Amino acid sequence: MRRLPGGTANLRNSGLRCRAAVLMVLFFTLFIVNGPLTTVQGAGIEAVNRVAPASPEPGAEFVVTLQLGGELPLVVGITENLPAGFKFLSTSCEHFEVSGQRLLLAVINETEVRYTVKAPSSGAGTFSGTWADMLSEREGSIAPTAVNVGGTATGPVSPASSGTAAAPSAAPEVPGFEAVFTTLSLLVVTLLAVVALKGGRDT
Amino acid sequence: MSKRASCVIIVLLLALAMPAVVMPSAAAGLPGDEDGNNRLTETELARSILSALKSGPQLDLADARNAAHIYVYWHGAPRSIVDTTGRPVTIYRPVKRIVVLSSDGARAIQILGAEDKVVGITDTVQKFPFYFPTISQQSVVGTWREVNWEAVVALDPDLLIAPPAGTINADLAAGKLEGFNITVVGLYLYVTDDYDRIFEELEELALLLEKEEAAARYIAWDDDYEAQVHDFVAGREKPDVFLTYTSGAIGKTSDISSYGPGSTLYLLCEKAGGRPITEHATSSYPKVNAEWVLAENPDTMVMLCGNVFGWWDIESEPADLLQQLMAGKSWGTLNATVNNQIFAVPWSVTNGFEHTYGIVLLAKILHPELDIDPAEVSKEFLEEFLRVDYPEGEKKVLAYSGLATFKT
Repeated sequence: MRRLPGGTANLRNSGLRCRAAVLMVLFFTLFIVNGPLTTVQGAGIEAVNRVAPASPEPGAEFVVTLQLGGELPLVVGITENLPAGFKFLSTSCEHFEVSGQRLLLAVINETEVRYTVKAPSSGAGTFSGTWADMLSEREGSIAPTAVNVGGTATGPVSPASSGTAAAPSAAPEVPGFEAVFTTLSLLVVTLLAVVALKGGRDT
Repeated sequence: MSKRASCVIIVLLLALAMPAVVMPSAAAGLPGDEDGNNRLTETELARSILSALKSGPQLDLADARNAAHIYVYWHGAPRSIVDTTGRPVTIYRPVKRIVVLSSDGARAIQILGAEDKVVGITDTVQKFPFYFPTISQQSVVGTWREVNWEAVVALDPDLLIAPPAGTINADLAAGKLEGFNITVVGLYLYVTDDYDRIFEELEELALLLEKEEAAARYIAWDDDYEAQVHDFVAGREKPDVFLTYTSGAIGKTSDISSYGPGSTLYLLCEKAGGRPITEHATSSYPKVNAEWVLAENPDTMVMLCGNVFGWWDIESEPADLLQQLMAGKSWGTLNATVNNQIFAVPWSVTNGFEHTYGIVLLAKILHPELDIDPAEVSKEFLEEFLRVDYPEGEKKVLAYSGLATFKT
């Protein structure tokens, strides 16, 4: 087994060993439960750009436009994070959900989606978001868009001229690999538990 | 942190991890099909996507992506066929992992361009890396007569392709794999007495693997050559042909094995414009003796022999086999002998989808004036459909008769 920094002997009587084991268990379990985010590069949507006014009037309603760069058919999941104080009002997207400041969109065969937001009476913030192409397994980020209510624009971040899509991971998807990791992790967990308990008895 | 607290945390985390172990990789039914009516609507797809997005930064989009694929490319419905065993076979998700239990199945997958999905094979496929450069590298789960079903399950396939009949067959596989959420499809993928069935099987497999265009391309290629041969031999005199194979003929003067109506070589010989002298046989694999062959006096003799796949590297191999065939038999006066029309032909001419080349080769043997080069057909098949390098100019022996030998 790989030694922890500082030497195993130093840990044996300090209780740290048990904590290290628990931390490792936590790490492995989170890995198992959530699963590694793997994507495969493929054809499909290239980027999503956001267009929004840089300095909306205080309390005014304004439209945020999401432009999907790709050809039909398109099926894309988008998560938009609205800055605090900005209130979602409506969207042209037929399929959506709102949770706090998070707007979730299921865009099916549309190349543009709009949503309306009400600005606070003052303040500034940044719209951010991510997209996941459901047909090509490509994923990316939507470049942040800073808005400054009633003031001067804080930055030329809208629209995102650089294309904004985060490079998709090149890690190939390996179906069934999760089960291998799970089994290995469970073995490690069991081993750690035994070691931890044995170490506890030694104290 | 106390020992007890640590133990509690470990147990809790183990409990959290258990579903990842015990849950099947894919449940039956279309992903996202909330009402279970086998019809995925736009609303159901959207709900599936939104549900996945809600899961947070570590997205698990697999099912939502499958749903999107099915909605867009499958028109929201599962894909179904009736396989050669007569069983309805339905898939509810795109096939990503295949175990194939025959070389004919492996060849079909390669023609369809789906070899990247294969995760398990039998030893026959492993033995021919030239033909199956990618597929042959996958895990071997057994042989033609014995399969390690635990190994199959461990590979977590979503589709298993097995022959409809034989020692290892689709019904047996379905029984062994029941409860493991592995779809079993029974397809021969080689020529049977129902000749058109091989093409229907290819189309059915293509439907399951979403490779319809590749299937259509192969079938068009086959149709073209078959039509050329058919048109050429139509109305021409059919030479009498004796068909046999190595172990059924060498060293024997009686009980010599031949091919009768219903066998693949018999059928291909007819398509190539020949008249098998066993046309009145009552079985597909009749036994004859040397005197009967002498009396029938065939114009051409074809002996299947040598490698299961491909060709001979040197002429002496098929030459030796022909010498052994003739030993002990008084066939020196046969038309076939006098005219140097006794051919050693590799088994591969009847192998599955390679039979297109087999028809052309046999037609060229029976009708040398046919203006199609069998070597070109073999090259097209290997390069365009199996995507392997043809041994151009390497003088591999495609068929041997001494004088009229075909080479690459």
